[in-house]
Amino acid sequence: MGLILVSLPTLTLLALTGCDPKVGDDTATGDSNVTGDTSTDSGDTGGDTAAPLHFTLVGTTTDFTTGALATITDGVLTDSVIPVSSDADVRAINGSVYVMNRSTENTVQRFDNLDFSAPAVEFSTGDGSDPVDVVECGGSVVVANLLTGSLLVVDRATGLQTGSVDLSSFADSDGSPEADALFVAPNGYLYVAMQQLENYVSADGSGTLAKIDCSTWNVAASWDIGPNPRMQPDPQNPAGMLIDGGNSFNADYSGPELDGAISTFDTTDDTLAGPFLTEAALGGNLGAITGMADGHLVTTLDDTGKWAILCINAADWTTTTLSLKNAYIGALVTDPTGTVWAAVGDGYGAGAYPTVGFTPIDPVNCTAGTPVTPALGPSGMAVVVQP
Amino acid sequence: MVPSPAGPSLTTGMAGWSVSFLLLLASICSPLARAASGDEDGGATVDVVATPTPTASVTDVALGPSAAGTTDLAGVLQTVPGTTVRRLGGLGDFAAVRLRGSTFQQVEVFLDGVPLNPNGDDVVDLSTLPVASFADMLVYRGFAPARYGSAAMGGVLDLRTTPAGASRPLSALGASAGSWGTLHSWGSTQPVLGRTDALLTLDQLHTDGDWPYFDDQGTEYNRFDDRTLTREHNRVDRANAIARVRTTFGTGSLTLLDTPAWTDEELTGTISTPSTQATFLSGRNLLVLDGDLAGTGSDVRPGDGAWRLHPRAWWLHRDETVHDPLGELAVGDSWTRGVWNTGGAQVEAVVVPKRWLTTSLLVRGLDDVYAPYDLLGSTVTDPVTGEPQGVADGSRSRRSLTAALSADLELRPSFGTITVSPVAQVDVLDNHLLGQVPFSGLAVSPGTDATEVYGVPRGAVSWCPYGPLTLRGSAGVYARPPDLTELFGDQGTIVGNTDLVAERGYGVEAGAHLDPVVVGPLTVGADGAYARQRVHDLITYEPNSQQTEHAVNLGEAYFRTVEGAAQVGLKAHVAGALLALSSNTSVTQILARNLDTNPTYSNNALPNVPPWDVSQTTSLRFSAVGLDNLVLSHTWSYTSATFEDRANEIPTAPRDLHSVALSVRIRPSFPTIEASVLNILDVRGMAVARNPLDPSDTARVVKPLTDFVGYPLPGRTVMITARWEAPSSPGSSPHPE
Repeated sequence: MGLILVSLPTLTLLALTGCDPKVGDDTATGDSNVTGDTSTDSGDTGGDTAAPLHFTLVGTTTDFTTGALATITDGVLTDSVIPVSSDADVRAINGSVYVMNRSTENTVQRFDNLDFSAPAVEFSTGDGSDPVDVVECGGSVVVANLLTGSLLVVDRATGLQTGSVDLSSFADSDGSPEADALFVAPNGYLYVAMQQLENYVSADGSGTLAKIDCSTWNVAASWDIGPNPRMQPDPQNPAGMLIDGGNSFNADYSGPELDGAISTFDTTDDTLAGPFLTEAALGGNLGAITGMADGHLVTTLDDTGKWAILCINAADWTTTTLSLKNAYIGALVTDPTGTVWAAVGDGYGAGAYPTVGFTPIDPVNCTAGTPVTPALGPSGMAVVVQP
Repeated sequence: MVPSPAGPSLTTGMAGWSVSFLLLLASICSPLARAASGDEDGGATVDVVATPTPTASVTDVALGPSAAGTTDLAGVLQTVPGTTVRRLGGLGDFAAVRLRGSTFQQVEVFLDGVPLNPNGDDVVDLSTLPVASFADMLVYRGFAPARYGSAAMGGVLDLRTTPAGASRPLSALGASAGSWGTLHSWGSTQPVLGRTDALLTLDQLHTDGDWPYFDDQGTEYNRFDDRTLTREHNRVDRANAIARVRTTFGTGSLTLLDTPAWTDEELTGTISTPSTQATFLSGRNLLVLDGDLAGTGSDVRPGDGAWRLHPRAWWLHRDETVHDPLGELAVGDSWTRGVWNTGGAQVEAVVVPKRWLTTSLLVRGLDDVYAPYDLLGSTVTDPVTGEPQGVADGSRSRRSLTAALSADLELRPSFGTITVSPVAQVDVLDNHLLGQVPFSGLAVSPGTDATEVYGVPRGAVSWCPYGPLTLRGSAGVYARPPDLTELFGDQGTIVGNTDLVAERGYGVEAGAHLDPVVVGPLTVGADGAYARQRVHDLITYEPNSQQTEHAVNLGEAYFRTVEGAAQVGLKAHVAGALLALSSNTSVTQILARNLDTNPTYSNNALPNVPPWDVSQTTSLRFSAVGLDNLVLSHTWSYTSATFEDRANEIPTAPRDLHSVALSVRIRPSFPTIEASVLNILDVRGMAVARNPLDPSDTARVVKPLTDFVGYPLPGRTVMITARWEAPSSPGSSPHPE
């Protein structure tokens, strides 16, 4: 017990600050071989030299008839590593890469240690299920399927189904609540955002966030958080999520419906705050959000035909828009250096546009760097931090 | 004798036949044989070397009631050289054909010379054209005669009904039943009353389509979840009819033809995203009024001054409804209806100023109207049926004019007979009735000039140096404007694109034909061709992540085809019995290259165009006293590996399938009973590379056998057929030659 009491604060501190492992940074007394160390280690006289960061960007690419996985390590692209479905997405969890395949197949693959020669686990999520997010909670793997009425729970080692989370009570008339995003909070609970759309639109403005107990797989609580909610971790608050909602289309699908906004949800006390920025004020649909712990966030802004990058300073919620060529931005991730990467692909539904590639974005200055261009259009991304 | 150029049902007396004879110029040099009728052998026996036009790569395929039952039009076409058939399933399911690697829309399909998809404005579903209702089918690869007014890059299929006065069965009945709850029945009759004769055919098909298929659930590395499932929600019901009345007067005739077709089918979806409630309902009707007038009397022989006038008018109506109440086919539920109406009129004038020169002028006008309906939110209902009617989301109309001037010159130097057939064709499209100037995306007012003109000249030459041998060559320019569905169609998973431009291309070919030569008991014939084509702005459908297909101009593509066919026959009489062995083989080799400048696709193989396609049919016929006909036949088809995608990352595996059939008829007046087994080895899977992107990974996995990704083909299919035909009436051959 004593060990736990000593270790927990240390571990917590490391988690909060711990993007940059520092040479010589340890909990031992008498540490005197570093400078500039801002940790609270006893005996640490500072002067740490930051260890080189080592991470790999893993991305899915597609031309919507076929797909492939690509990796970027130290700025070097390795393209067409393995084939994936034409509509695939990817997640990085505890050093493992999860690939969610959709369209021609509905499967999830897990690759460990960036070894893509064969998946450690591979399982089907069911015909027509459309897996959209995956997390690990309570020792199990949980998959959100957009077109089913439940979350799939499988054994991490075998991929065999061990349970499910029944969300049918949140389903609309199409039979599915459209579970779209998952978040595992430090409190151990799983949070799921449900879009509750019919034909792309939430006609009654509903959208639900539910809290799941990962030991019983029961719904512990739920909240109405507005139409078509999207959810992602809040880089400023490890226990929080950024929620941006709003219908993508207006009633006759002729353009965007500017009814969304950015809010935050704190799982510490399960409270919703905001809205802080509205689509009406921004003039476009908000998309995925990522960013830095200092509050420099990046999201996308679209009119259902073209996408642009929107940089946000969460300190005062001011924004800067960065326009790219008529592009579709499928995903945003932040690497350990604070650089945001955008999967900028072909234009969506309006003819062929130049494929830009995996594009680095400086969230502070809101500028784009030189893209890394795979053969097919980028669609999904994840960051794997390597020890 | 060679077939009439305008279709056997539309000729009149000897005059018409004489003109036809000159037009095709096959009298002295090479008495080209028609396809074996298939009656004797039973089943759909394709004589792969029967070609009625010396200057074209064309095969005349016998159809009719004796060919029906165990196969369909797609199955018959698979045995013709130069073809690639693709299916979404089995009997009754969607099937279409490519010619020499073309797209489906680059193949124009005609019914008695009337285009079902003029200017390639539709993909004709071969499963809606019953084998039993037609006498034969001409398959032109590349160059097609001017009478079709076609600039199709792939070629032309012309399905022809039984001509009046032909020596065909007066009546025929048949029924076939077998695997997957399949029941197929057909009947035809040809009454004659004075100077009026009629043709009536009926055809019906039902199938549950519930065959087993292999499903790996998309997990190439996980064998534990592999399973065999049954195809569900795959019922098809079809009905077709042909009614034709022809009356003759003097040297002319007037024909009225009506061909309704109806389909009601469940859309089963793909393996990974099956559908449980989506349905497809369609109706099609072609009404044709055809006249024929010759310039000389019925007993005239071919000679100077003969002429023929062939006016024709038709109306083609198509009505299709796709209902996807659960949004299983694409994202979001939908209920859409499309109505197409095409009114056409044409006149073909043929003049033979000299015996060695035949000229013709074809002028055709078409008015295409397309009206889409969204029934999903409709509050308007049909007062009779109560079904939602929807409101037309605007209608789109396009008018086109085709003029084709051609000549056939027959020259007879000392070294053989040379036939030269140039065609000067112009297609004019008047699009100002559309909402936008097509191919530009600009809005247009009704008064704005928006006319597209395509010059599509072509020509062919043949040389007959020696009796049965003919050498030929042709070259041509081709074009296909985007159809109204590609421009405006928002139905099911299809999304239109008004920015499309027309496909254009050119092709050249050289070929040789050896008429069947009889040497004692042995008969040998052969045909071969080498063709090259280049296509610009190829229109293709590109999918996106929302499972919709968006029409785009792809870029450039190149095709090189080598095709060949051989026929060998052997007959022997042993102890009063007849033994006949016949073998028909066709081989097609296609190099299809994507010339897109995008390095991801540049020089890749075009998807779904197998480099090799082989079909071999061998049949043994036995006939003796007390046993009129016993035929045992075997068909082998081989399709080489190809790719499913433009990036060439998803390979398919080679496929070879075997089918056998046994038919028996005791007496000529008795029914023929046939048992057939398609895909006798029950091939339902194919082994492909597990990771095609890693050459070091040599592991292979089994995937379902498909033509299109996600649509498994059926395994072993057993069919029992009974067919009866009334004795043939005396008269001339089925098609005047």
